[in-house]
Amino acid sequence: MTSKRPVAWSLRLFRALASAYPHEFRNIYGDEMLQMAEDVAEPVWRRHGVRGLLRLLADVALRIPVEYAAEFRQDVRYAARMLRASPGFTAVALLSLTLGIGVATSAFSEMNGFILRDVPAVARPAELVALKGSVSYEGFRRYAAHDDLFAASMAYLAPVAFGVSFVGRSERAWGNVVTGSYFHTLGVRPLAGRFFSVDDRAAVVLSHRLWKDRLGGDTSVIGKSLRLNGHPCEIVGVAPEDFRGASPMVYGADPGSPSPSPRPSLPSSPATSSSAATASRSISSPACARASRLPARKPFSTRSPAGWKKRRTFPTATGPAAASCWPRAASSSPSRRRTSCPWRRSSSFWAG
Amino acid sequence: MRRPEDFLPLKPHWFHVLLSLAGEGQHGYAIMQEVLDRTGGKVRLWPATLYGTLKRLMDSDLIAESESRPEDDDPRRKYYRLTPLGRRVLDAESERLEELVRILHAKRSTERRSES
Repeated sequence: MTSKRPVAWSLRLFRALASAYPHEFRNIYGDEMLQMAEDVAEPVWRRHGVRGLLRLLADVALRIPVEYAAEFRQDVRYAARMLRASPGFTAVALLSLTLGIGVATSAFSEMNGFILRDVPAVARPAELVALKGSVSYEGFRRYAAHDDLFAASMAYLAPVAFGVSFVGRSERAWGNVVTGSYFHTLGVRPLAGRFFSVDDRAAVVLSHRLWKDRLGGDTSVIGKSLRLNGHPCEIVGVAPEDFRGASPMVYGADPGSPSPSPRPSLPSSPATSSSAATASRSISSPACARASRLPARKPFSTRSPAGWKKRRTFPTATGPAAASCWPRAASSSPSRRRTSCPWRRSSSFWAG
Repeated sequence: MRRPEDFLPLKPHWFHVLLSLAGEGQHGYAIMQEVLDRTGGKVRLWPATLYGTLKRLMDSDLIAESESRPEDDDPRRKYYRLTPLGRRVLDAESERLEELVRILHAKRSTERRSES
């Protein structure tokens, strides 16, 4: 045991460990502790060998958390003393904290309940999932093709402003442009008539409010035609009274009053074939993992009636919408979709 | 102000350090050496343990930094001494230990009498 190299290494390690002690401890006792370690390291090495040096290092290492805990206890005691010394300040601080935390918690709870969770009239809202990013119609089709992942899927664009004309009367209403699987995926039952079928080319489902207020709640309107933005559509059904769409709070038009439409209405076609969100039912965790590997954003080109070309993607609808109209967006092939106006070929509308 | 009884029973390390300072003020290394000698090498106060203990004793007002020190000593070394509270705590702990020893002796003598 004549080599002093282990002693030098131990002291180097000791210094490194000592530098991890709390600042206050190092300021008061750091130098002394290092000096003492230098004094004892060699005698310990001569008498106890490696085990002695390990014991020296273990001592300094194990005391680090102890010193931090002691410092923390001291800080807590000091804070408690200070708070006790000024009860007025303590009361105001506690009250502010209580109110702040309470308000924030209750606001988030409400928001969570109303905006993120509550989807009235939907059969099993807990089983719905929404994609958080913009999704092109092509992207939606790729998701929808995975029927092993999703029990059902649908897409919609919201909010969309429509000019609704029926028996000579016109008004502006907010609605959604939806895929044919919209109502089936949400598990909603029609109040009157039916929802979309694969054979529908231009169909609209009315909201209960629009049906009641503007059409007098007359069931004979089922099967008749109305015009959406000038295009004839067949009224195929009426949605339940409390149904406000898949995102009733986020994309909400007031279902109780006709909207003055401060937002520009979309030019009819390009939007209709794009998908805003995909919802699904009865999916499992592995399915979610697999779904995350699918492309979520793939813009596609559309040509407007005026002939100009643009690329656009549409925002995801993750919340509720008090929709007026739900036109059905359908298209037969990607190539046709790129060159023609899906609005003209398809169309199921949900109108309120 | 805490009473001496509040500290009892003392932790062994605390007792050894207070006992080492019962005479005159000492620095850390001297305390460690005295404990080592007194216990026949059985109790060694390693540096981190020793200075952790000194810090707790200072925080509890049982010891204080000593003003008096040898003139030729290393100026980096701090000397520690007992405070009046520390002295009372040491006395109280010593009495407690003496009482325990007395009880043990009493039991032993009873045992011996019953055997004879």
